[in-house]
Order: sequence, then C-alpha cells, then structure tokens
Amino acid sequence: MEKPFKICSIIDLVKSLLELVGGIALILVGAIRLSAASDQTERLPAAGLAFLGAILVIISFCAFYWLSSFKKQHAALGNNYDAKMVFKYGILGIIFAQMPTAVVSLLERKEWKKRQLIERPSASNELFAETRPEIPEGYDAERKTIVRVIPTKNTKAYQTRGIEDIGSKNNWKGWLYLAPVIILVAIFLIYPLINTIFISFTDNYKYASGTFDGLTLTNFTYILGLTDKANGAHEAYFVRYAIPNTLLIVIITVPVSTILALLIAVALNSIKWFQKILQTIFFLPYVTNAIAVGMVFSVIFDVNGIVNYLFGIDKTWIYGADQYTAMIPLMLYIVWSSIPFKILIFLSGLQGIDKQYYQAAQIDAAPRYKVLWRVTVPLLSPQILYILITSFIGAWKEYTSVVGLFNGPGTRGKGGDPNMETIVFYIYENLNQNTSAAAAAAVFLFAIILAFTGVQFLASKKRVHY
Amino acid sequence: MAQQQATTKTYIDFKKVKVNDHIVLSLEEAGKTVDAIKRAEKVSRVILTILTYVFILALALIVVFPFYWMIITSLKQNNEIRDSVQTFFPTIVMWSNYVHVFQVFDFTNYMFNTIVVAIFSTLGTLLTTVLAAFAFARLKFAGRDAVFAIFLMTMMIPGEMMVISNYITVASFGWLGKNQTRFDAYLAMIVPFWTSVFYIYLLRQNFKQIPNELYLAAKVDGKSDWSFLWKVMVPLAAPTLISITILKFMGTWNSYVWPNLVTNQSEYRLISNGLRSSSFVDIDAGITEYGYQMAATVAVTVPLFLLFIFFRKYIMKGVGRAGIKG
Repeated sequence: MEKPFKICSIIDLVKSLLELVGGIALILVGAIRLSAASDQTERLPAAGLAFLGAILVIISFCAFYWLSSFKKQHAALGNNYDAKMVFKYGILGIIFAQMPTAVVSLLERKEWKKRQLIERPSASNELFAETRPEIPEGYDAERKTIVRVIPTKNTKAYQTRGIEDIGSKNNWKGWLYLAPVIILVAIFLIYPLINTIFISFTDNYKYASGTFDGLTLTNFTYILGLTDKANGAHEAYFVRYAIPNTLLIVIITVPVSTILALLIAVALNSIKWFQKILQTIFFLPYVTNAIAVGMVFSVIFDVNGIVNYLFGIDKTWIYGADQYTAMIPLMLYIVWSSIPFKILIFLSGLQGIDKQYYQAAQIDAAPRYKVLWRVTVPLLSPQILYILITSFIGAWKEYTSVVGLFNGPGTRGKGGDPNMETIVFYIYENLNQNTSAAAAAAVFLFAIILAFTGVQFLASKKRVHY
Repeated sequence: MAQQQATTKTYIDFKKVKVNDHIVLSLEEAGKTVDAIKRAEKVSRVILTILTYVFILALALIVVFPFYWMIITSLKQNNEIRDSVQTFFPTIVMWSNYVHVFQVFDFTNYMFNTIVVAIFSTLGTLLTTVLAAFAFARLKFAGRDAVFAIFLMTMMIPGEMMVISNYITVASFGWLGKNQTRFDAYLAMIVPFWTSVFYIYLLRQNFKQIPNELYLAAKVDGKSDWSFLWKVMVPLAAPTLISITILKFMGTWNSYVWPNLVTNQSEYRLISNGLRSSSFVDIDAGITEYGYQMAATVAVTVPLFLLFIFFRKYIMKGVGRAGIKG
C-alpha cells in the first residue's frame, strides 16, 4: 500500500496556515472596530469578532499539533492504509473547514488502532506453522531427550497487554470534572492575557472606567524613551534603570546560583554524617517570607551593620548608595534565597542516577573532576535544564526582593531616582496611573521571556540527555 | 623505584605472564606496590572528604547567619544595633521589644486575615486540583491532551501579564472600591488563585503512578468514578496532597503583591504587607527602629518555621517531585 497521507498533509498544512492568517486578520479587524466603537452596543460585536479570530488562531495551532502527532504515529506504524478511505476523508476535509479535518484524522487514527487490534497475530501456534521449521515433538530415542516446542512470545490465547477499557472511552463526564478549573483558568488566566495585550495597544487606558482614547503603537516606544506622550511626559527610568538592573540580575545571579547549587548538591550527596541535618539547613531559606528576610538583609548591610564591622570598611550598601553598589546586597540576597529549591531538585535528580555509571568510572580510575563533568552533569542535564529555564524566568520577574531590601524603587540616593527598580517594579508602579504603559511593559517582558526560553530550548537539544 | 619511572617505556617493556598454554597476559608495571597505591588513595579520599565538609559547613554557616542575626537583633537595644562595634550576642536581652511589637503591630488581626485566607484558598485549590488531576490522569475524553497542553503553556506566562486585567476583573465584580467589606477583600484575595496549573501537573503525575488495575477492578465492582476518586485515589495520593496543602499555605503566608494591590484598608491586609508597611520609626530621630522591626520579622517567620520542622518531609518531597524527569 502506498503512502497517500503525504498529499493530505500538505493540503492540511496550507489550510492551517490560511486559518492562522484569517484568525489574525479577524483579531485586527475586531480590535480596530473596538477602538472606533463609541458605546457599549457597538463594542460587543467587535469584541466578539476579535474573540472569534483568537479562537481561529487557537484552532489552527491545535490542527498543527494534531497533524504532527498523527503523522509521527503513522510513520511509526508503517503508513499503509486504505487509499479509498483516505480519498473519501480527504475530499471531506478539502470541502469543509479545518476542525472537521482534525476530527477526521482522529477518526482515522481510531480506525487504524482498531485494525491493529484485530490483525494482531494471536498467540496460538497455528499462525506461525508455515514458517516454523519442522521439529518432531515427543521423545527422541536417539538422543534420549524429550522435545517440546514452546513459543517465546505471549503464550496466552488472549490479549494480556494494552487492554483498553472500552467503557471509559469518550467519557464526557471528564468535562464535568474539568469544569471548575476551566472556568477559573479562562477568567483569570486566558482572558487577562488577551486583555493585557489589548490594553498595551490602547492609548490612555483608564482602568476605573474602562475607557481609552484610541489604538496606538506608541506605548512601546514611550516606555523605551523614544517618544513622548501627548502631555509631554517622558519616560527615562525604564531604559535607564529597569532594564539594566534586570539584565544584571539575570546574567549574574542565575549562573552563580546554579553552579553553587550543583556543587553543594554533589557535595551533600557524597557525605555520610549529618546529611539530613545539613539538607534541612540548606532548605531553610525556602520557607521564609521574602519581605521579612529582605529586611534582615537590610539590617545586616546597614552602614553600622555587621558586614561593615567584620570587614572593617565603611560603605553605604543600602540607603543612600549608588546603583551598582546597592546591587551587591541585592544579588547576594537573590542567590541566598534561590539556592534551596535548586539544591533540592539536584539532590532528587542525583539520587536517580544509576550507580553503575560511577562504578564504571571507578574501574577506569577517572579523577573526581572528570567524573563530575563527564558523568554527573550529563546525567543531571534534564534537571539542569529545568532549573535554568525556571530560574531565568524567575530572575526576569524579580520584584519582592527589591521591595524587601529597599522598601521602595530606589536607594534614595541622588535626588530620589528609582534607581533600583526592575521591570516588574515598573509595571506595578504604573498600574494605576499609567495603565497602558504598564501593559506595554508587561508585553515587553513576556516577549523577552518567550525569546529567552525558546533560545534555551533550541540550545538544549544537543546537550540534554534523557 | 625512581629509576624505573625515569626510563622511557616502549611496548617491549611489558611483562609477559603465561597463564596456561593458550593465554599470555601482557602487564604494564605501575612502578608502585599495591600497598603504596592503597595508602595514597586513602589519603586523597580523606583529604577530599575534609575539604568537602569544610566547604559545606562554611556555606551552611553563611546560609544560617541571617536567621541568627535576625534573632539576636530582635533582642538587642536599639542603640546597640546602630553602634559601630557590633556584638554577636546582646548585652541586655530585651524581651520588651516583642511586647512593644505586639502592642503596636496589629498582629492578631493580620494573623487572623492570613489564616482565613490561607485555609479557604487551600481548600479551594485542593478541590479543583483533585478533580482536574483525576480527569487528566484517568478519564479519557476527546481533547484531553490538547487541553492539558494548553494548561502547561499557560505556566510559562509571567503572572505580571495577568495582574492588570485580574485587577480590572475583580474590580468589575465589585470586590474593590471605597466600601470594601472584609468579605469582599477575602474574596478578592482568594478566588483568582483557586487554581494552580503546577499543582494539577504534580498531582496528575502522582495519579498516573497509581496502577490502572485498581481502576479496572473498581469498575468491575460497579463503583462510579466519583466514589473511586474519593475512596481510593485520594487516600493513595495523600502524601502529595499534604505537600500541596503545605506549599499552598506557605504561598499564601508569603504572598505580598496581590493582597497589597487588592486591599484598601490596612486592617484587611495580610501579614507580609502589614510587616512592610508598618513603620517602626523613632519619632525623635526619624530613623527606623531595627529592634522592633526584627522582632516583628521573627514573629512572622516563626509559624512557618514550626510548620517546616513538623512537615519537613512533605515539603521537601513536594518540591522535589518537580525534579523527577517526566
């Protein structure tokens, strides 16, 4: 049987792309209509248009996902099935929209699976009788042995594995179980996402009344300090303080804390006495309140505090310090509070590594650093990837540590500039007055995080061994 | 021995040992006796262990130091804290700091708010998480994997994207505003966080590890899904549920951003907002009184600390489960 599925797949791909483009166009049209709408009665259909466009986009993504998984499964199973069935379903798919095609692919998959079930060779010996060499069973008098032929695969006459519970398929009650979660997620996760993106394109959004002046792209240029608003306001703090601070935090704290956590976890795993006590001690910073311990750090790094006393220097670290001096206690605090989680993940990953690798390295008399670099780190690479991704995302969103240490966006140094603020601090500062700018900063943050995570995923393809 | 190590080795130098008629071993001499090698290995292992312990103990001291400093600073006099010569133990133990804090800082009110919010938040989360994880793990219905994939994708979105709109949504429900009652404030703080995709993922992994044969056996016995869930699955997954409860409780205790945003009057605040916003400023000098502040900090940290000591196993297991691959 040939592979007619390839023809189907190109058509499906093109249709998904068309749907994606159509969905985006609908969203744009809906948004423009929304901006031109003056009162509530015109707003609703426009919002409905935009929502429909969003649904189309989501359907196209779903179709992409289904197609790719279906194709993979068929490639694994051998790609041979009835040409007539494909033709029939293919015509249907061309005529109707994308969703029915996806449903049809699912139906095909089910029929394929059913056929798999029927055509599976059963375990009785008759099926293989033609291919088996002729071995006489019974007592062989020549060699004085009893000869019996025993099949090595699946000696039972009925199916023993992969039994599908037919009664629980398509159990629509599953949607009832999911209903509370889906409602809450839709209201508090998915709708805010779309709404925030929408707000970032509006001008002068007033959250109290929900009114705005119009659609504009200048919000993004405003926060980057490139344009001014209509009343002459100019935003310099985002580019001067928020972005550099956050970049510094991300670039320095994440590698440092990850490497430190890895070394501590390896060391903790290798010692015998006091292991549980030390594990508990290293886990302590996780159970504390970020604000509370931030205040402790601000006391420690005070002008008359213990750090200045121990090292015999006199430096203002927190209040009245300039930006880069005050970054040091902030980064120390972030590393201190982020290490316990990493140590725990690394420890649980280390305990899952098979001892055989270490024994093989011992036989080869490998030195310790080589064992660490060549055996432990590659086997821990899934955990390391997870930790790196989550800590980068968390470092971009750093906010409570700044509040805990400085009780405000700056060190109150020169002229009250908010010189310690981060991107998220900027978002919360401008939430009430300048909602459009805050939304624009939020979308900016989301785009950066997405790009960062995507790059990390791509870079990890070769290095992560599962 | 030195001469042996000084000569260059060629392949002819290999010592040949004949085992029997057919096997001849070619051995290279290490130039040391077995005892010397063993001794050198033992010494290097002992040194490595000592270095490891030193490294770990030093770092453990640094990790514990802020807690120690927090406790002793809360027991010092205020002028002793600002003294240029720092002491490692208070000269006078000032228990009066704590008395003052409990008078000034409306502790019981904040504690009450936090406990109520934490309890209802945790109960709601447990309910929704158990239902959703059961649906994702055991029941089969069309679109299950797609919906789960969408949920996982929402985990990547930073929460700050949603704060603005959530604020507007909550305001449109009428829970904010000038005449905000206590009930409204609690609702505004609890409801948006009633689901957490991370806990659904965690519990689903745990449900999947329970063998499917139990489900099939229950089906044979004629039990419905609902009774199977509450009578069999939940007791079997109890450790993970305890971990989720404790983690959610800790999260509510430590939450700062959202309650700060959503509460108008200061008497509805939770404990971390109250801590940061209450000022222990000395009226005469205008500087913050660190003694009182540290005493308030200790009072806020101690309950979680006690929780940690009693439920350490569950907390660490619950957090560590994220590290298991797949």
